[in-house]
Amino acid sequence: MRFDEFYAERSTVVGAADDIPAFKAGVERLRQLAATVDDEPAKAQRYLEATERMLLEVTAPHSETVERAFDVLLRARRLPTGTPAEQRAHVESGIAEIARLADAAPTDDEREAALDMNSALLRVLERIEHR
Amino acid sequence: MTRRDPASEVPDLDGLWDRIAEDVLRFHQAEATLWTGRIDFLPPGQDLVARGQATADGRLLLSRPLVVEPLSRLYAEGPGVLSDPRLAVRCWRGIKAAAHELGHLTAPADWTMADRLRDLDRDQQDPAEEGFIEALTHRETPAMVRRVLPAELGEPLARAVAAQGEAVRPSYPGWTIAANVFAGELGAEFEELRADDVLLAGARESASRRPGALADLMISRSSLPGLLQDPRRAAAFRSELADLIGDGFAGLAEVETVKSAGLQRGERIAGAAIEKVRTGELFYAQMADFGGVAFDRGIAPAAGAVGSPPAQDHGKGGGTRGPASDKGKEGRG
Repeated sequence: MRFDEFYAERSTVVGAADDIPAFKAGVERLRQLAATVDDEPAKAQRYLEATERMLLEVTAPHSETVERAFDVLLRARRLPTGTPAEQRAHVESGIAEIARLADAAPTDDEREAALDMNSALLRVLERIEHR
Repeated sequence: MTRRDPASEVPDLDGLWDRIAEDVLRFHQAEATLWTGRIDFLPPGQDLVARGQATADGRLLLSRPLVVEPLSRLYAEGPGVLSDPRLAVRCWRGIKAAAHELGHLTAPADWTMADRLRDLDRDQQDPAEEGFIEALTHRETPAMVRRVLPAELGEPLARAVAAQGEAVRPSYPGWTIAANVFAGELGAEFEELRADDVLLAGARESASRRPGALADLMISRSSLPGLLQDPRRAAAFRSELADLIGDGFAGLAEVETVKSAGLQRGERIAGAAIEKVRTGELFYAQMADFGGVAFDRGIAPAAGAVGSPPAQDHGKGGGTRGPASDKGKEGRG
């Protein structure tokens, strides 16, 4: 197999990363294919290892609390048109919502990981003040 | 090396903050820091909902209840307090938060506070700023905890956190995974470039210089330096590549929450940047074959006219075509 063919197959596998069982099966298929790449075997191996790390990332412990807090962060960063006071209120509302999500987290680690994201919103508040 | 200002509100804790600051400079491989040495408390109200902040004027603010009090108890009462699992997690996260915020203040040697203030307005670069710094800090925290705490506290803290079963999670999940995947893709594509080097280059730079630094890293591992000898063309190519990377990460302001979205976006940003470098190599190698002297006098189209991916892909953070084979580069020796 040529590297280009391997890379095309790998793109298909990564494109299905939101389906964890399909992604796992795809990585297993890539392991077999990587061993058959004859023009650039080292590069195929490096891309295989990068794909295996992706699999580790998406199968790491999932936290609904942290993901919802991240979603709140994204919304709170989108400043509405309006006065600085209105923008500040919008961001502060996001900070409070993340704190509420953190308080209700099922584990200590999830609560603390969610709270960490409020630091980015403090920077947005500072930015509003400087403008 | 900047040290804690003795007038700071936050107590010294036997030099803990200086050791963290020193460690951050080391693992970021940064030339300098804009930290003034001042460590104060987050204002009441903010201190219960956030752990820390690197301010625009170079101070480090830390939460009294979430960071300073747990670590003060650890120092005052010893490792026995770690039997409280919440306190153990807070000590761990407190050290990580201080390192993460100090990571925002690492800078090139010539960087000034005025530069930092200008950079603060680049809110489109927040996903890359948080993603790269969190990815690097998260990776370094286990070893850093052991380096900055005395052994009689560091080891028990590491054990207490590990005993809780689940891995300590990174924050900013959609951004951190994108930074990690981007780094992994570049490490796979370019021989002798490690993913860790990419993370470092992304984490230690200030927001406005980060895309250029990542572009420099990619170009340095390609055959372009030998092909693009006209400084204006080299600068134009670098600028286009940096814009492609910067725009890709700016697009993460709208990433979906699910992990696979950040993963795929990181892969696409890297894929688009790699494609630009590889097609650029082919283009400039062909031009050189047809007479580089004439080319360098400006007969050829502007840099990137052939090498750029389709315009509609830029805003989405890259195209879907795979990177070109580097066989050609290897073949040219």
